[in-house]
Amino acid sequence: MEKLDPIIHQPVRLRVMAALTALPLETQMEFTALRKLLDVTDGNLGAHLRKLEDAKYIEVQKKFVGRKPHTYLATTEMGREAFRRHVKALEAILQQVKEG
Amino acid sequence: MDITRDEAEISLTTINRVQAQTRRSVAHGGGPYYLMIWGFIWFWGYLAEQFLSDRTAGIIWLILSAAGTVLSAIVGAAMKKRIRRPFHDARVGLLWLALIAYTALIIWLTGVHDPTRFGLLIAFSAMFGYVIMGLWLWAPLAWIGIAVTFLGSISYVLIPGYLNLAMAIMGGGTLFSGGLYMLRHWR
Repeated sequence: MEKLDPIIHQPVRLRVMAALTALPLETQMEFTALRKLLDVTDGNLGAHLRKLEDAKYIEVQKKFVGRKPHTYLATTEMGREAFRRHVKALEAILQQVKEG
Repeated sequence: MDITRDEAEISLTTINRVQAQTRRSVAHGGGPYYLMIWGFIWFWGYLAEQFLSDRTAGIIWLILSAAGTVLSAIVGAAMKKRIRRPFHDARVGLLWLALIAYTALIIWLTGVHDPTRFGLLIAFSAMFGYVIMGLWLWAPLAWIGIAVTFLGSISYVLIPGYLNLAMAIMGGGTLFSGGLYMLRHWR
């Protein structure tokens, strides 16, 4: 049985991973777009992104679009796999309760 | 770590909601703006075709189409800042390129010269694009495509003299209001 991932389980990080895994692999979302989507503050999102980056679940790239710097985020294959396992674990908990 | 059934359920619901929001509003976020732009253009273009001379209406269509292309490009550029995708995911753009190419080919092969049928063929090709995008992205887009095609066909059969007026109101109106609806309901 898959285990819950404590890094992903935190509500903001769960939503970050949900949003980024909804995109096709190698597709990157800009920091501001993600912040608006999740309705969180810059600082809060930044802190959670660092945790996910440290766990190698996401990749952060800074790029210039025109003259402005933009931060782009994408999940790694490892992050997608961890998220998949986390969802399986959540589904297993629901299933257990139904069977129990 | 242990969590309750309710917590697990809330987490799964959150995941589904955020993923649906992301697919709609970020990955394909230009949709409502494109609909509103082209709904506006259809409304005034078809209205001009109904009430003005062919030559004047043709010029208005050209100006409107050029403006629509420029505005769509601006929306596209703004969306590109939010999402960077590898080339193989450029399906939406490729779909429209393929549709334009096939429509041009059909017009060339069948030699449709009647302005009404020519206009309908282009309009229905565009609506076919909406149906495909609806199947990929969000079902209401498909319903918009089907509704406009259905209403256009009915108008062509029943009120051919007012077809352009019908396309302005029903076609342009459906596109514009569809875009407005998406803007209000997509985040």
